[in-house]
Amino acid sequence: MSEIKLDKVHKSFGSVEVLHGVNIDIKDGEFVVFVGPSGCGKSTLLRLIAGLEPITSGDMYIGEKWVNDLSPVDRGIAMVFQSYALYPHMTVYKNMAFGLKMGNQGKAEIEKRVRNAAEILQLTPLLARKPSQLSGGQRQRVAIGRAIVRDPEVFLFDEPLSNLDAALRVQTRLEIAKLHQELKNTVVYVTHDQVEAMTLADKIVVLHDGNVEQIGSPLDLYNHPANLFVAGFIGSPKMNFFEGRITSIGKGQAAVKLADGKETVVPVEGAHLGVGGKLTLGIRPEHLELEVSSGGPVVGGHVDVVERLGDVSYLYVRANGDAPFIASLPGTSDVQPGTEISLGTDPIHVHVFNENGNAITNARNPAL
Amino acid sequence: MNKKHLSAGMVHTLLLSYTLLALWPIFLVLINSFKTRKAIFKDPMAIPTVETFSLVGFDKVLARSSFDIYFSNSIIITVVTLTLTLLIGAMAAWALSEYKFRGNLLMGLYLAIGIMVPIRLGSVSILNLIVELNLTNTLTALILVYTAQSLPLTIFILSEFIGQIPKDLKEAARCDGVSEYKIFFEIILPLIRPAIATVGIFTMVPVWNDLWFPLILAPGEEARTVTLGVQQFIGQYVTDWNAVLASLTLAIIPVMILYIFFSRQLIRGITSGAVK
Repeated sequence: MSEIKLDKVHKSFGSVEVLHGVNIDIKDGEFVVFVGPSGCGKSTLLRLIAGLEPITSGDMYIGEKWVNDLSPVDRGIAMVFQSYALYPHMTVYKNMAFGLKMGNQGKAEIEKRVRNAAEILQLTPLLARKPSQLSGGQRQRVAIGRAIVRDPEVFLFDEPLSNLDAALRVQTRLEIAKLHQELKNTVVYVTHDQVEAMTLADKIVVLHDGNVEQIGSPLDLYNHPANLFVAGFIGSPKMNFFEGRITSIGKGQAAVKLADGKETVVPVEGAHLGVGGKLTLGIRPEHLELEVSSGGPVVGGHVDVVERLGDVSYLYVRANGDAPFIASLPGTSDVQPGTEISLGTDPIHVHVFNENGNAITNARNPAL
Repeated sequence: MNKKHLSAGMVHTLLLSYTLLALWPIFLVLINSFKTRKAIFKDPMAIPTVETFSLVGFDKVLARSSFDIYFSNSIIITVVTLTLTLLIGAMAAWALSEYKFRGNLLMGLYLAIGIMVPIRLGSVSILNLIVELNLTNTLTALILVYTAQSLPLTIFILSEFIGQIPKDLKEAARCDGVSEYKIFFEIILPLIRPAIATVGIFTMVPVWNDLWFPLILAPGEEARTVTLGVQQFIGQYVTDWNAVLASLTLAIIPVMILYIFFSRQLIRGITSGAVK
């Protein structure tokens, strides 16, 4: 069994604390993605799990073992680096066999494992080549192969796709997903790309400034972001935020005056709110519609740019008195840049955040 | 007008003239070593002809002196010094650049001083030390001194190169369960081969050419080096130029061989394909 448990893990470099007490439970066989903007501590966290950096305080368990002081090998992990880190003077075969040789495996066993991994990753014709004779995608596969042959309990991936071009990235992403379905190992994967996170993960851990902001399934995070940061980070294009002040509170709803002066009613439990308090409404671009009928908030402005992608069109709207926002309309809509526009949404799709940026339950759709 | 760059022709002319200048004395040694004594004095710049050609110098050096001993002494000293310097130097460089321990910086500075202060300033104490260790007139004495002399620069240069090896490579190896010794011998050493070759050449030349330490530490017949051995042909009143030039010509050969061996290691771009 190879579940991973992090308990109040702190990490400091000198006097700078980069991780402020991280608690994460990763189940056996789970594909977990750490996601966050650069500098949020996600790579550091991965290196702590790998054992390449010592933990400043806290406890870490892999399987049943307390691993704080164990070396990378003894933790049963294999890591794939962002830069691939292939040994440049060794052939592909030797690159994959090197770690096994150190583990005192028999020659036949090594040969079998390397051939097997090469088969899975379609590297067999390349076994005699040096890394410098490989393309980026091939190098990446060798790096993954080097991890596979060791048959580790836990795979660690540190932004493995960020050096690949867009097409290869999508392809390799699929391969990694397939690989995980085949091997069923526990995987911890670090990325700054929320699309990678959404597509690969069983569970996403959103990190920000060394804190865990939210842990949940991809759809959990999309549908119920716990705070403004997660709401803004997950989803593409980003969620739009509109600030407003509460003008009155009723049963299961509150009236909010938005920055453009319009008033709207949002379905929230008002128990913890006070009149005059600040609220932020979050509406995803894909939930904004041209037909305004459902009684939800209405936002309007001047269309600056229209990006037509075929299936959808992105409207960049300069709002009346608030920050600019983006709307995602069906590709068939023929809104022209330079026109004035008014967009609405069903109250069900409105995310409401209080002054501290934390989400407040939507009363009309508690599941949301 | 492009004043920033010299034209390729200018660069080549400059380099060629420098090459000529550097090779001229060697050329003189070579041609004169094959001439009779008379011809050397009559026209030192002339190329040996049928009349002036003579192997008398080589005959004297090879047949009528202990030059074989001097040669083997020089070769042993140079090769052992090189091996020790490169091995210990590379290991020390790896330790200094990879592991953070107390006194790391201080140790680095201490070694840097070794580069700045010429070892010959300590000749007297070195002589005392060698005498007390009963090592006078031994090759060991010279090997120890030369190793000490070469180490600071070696460590300095190699730690720069080791520092350039991507950190991910070492960490990947650690994840693979490779011991620190194996990481050094199987990953770091192969990757800094060009640097080692460069340092090897830098180390070899002054050791091979040195006259000072053989003169004061090992002047005895048994431990004499080539450079010291040549001196026996240079007298106060008469210098046997045939023998001197012949022995110098012979002395070039081992250095040439070592140089060719090292220069083959200077393959550029050996780390390409490691990362990205």
